[in-house]
Amino acid sequence: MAIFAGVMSLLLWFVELPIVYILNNENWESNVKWIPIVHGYVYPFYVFTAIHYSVRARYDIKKMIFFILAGTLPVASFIAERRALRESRQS
Amino acid sequence: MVLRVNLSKFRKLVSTLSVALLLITIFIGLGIWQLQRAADLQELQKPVIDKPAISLLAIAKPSVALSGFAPNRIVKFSGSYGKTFIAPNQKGRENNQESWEVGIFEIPNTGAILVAREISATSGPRNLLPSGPVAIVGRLMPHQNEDRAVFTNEVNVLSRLDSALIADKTNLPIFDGFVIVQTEAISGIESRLKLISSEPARSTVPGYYWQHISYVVIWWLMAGVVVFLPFYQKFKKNEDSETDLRSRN
Repeated sequence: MAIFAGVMSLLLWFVELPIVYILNNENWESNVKWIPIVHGYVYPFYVFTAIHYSVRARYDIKKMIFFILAGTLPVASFIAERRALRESRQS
Repeated sequence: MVLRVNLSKFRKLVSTLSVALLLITIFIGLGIWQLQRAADLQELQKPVIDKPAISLLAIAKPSVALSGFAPNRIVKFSGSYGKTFIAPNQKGRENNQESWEVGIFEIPNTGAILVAREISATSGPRNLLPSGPVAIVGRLMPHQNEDRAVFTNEVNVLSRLDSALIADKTNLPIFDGFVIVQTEAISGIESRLKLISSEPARSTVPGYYWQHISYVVIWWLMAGVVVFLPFYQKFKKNEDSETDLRSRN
């Protein structure tokens, strides 16, 4: 889920937003209009997954908030996913 | 001592509750705002069927943002022109770039609104605005957000049609948006104008309907998370102390 949310964030930040706000190309804009919609619905699922995982792993609140917010930044969710994977292997 | 401990606990509880309440209010407010944007977007995307002209004051008030239902309505009002401007690089028929003659139209004892009167003459002298009372019928448009002209050092050039740019040029409160003239009558006689295409405006709310709905879900989910976190903290504390006890035994 974190990887999917991260990919959608990358697409939003580096494909959809530049096309809409910098390039102003209406044809391209219509081709990428699915990105913000999919991103918008993926993020709530990411939040649920982050909460579920944090509760099961018995993380403290700070860590849980970090996991939730990691989905808003393009690369942070990948980092969060790697960290969670490493910790679960160690335990 | 006990009282002091309880007082500090109470203070902590009150501050935590205040922060939680503030965050919940903010998140719910943001959700409602996105819901409103989704509704505005849906309203503006409907095909526009022109209704009979309505008084400007019936659908808009000075110093108040236009409601989602006001843009594209045909409005009528009367008053007189004040200062005039040129609005260059406006999109006209078939997306051609045009310069428009724009005036601050003052409605006595009510307010002022920007009126795009006609296409500016490319050569020869500009038509002077009538100085007496004028009756206008035109399409109410939402204000423009993006500049059309970069060089705005000239005093009579408006980089975009936005009431914010004329705030210091009239003493009257200003209406949001602007009007594209369809007919202009002076003492009952219609002026001969090079009319601007007054096709309905497209949505000015960025994004898509389902995108805004997804943001409603996100903001309200965040409010839910704020409600959930203190319970989780308590659960975590209890669990940690139980584990601690077990390890001691």
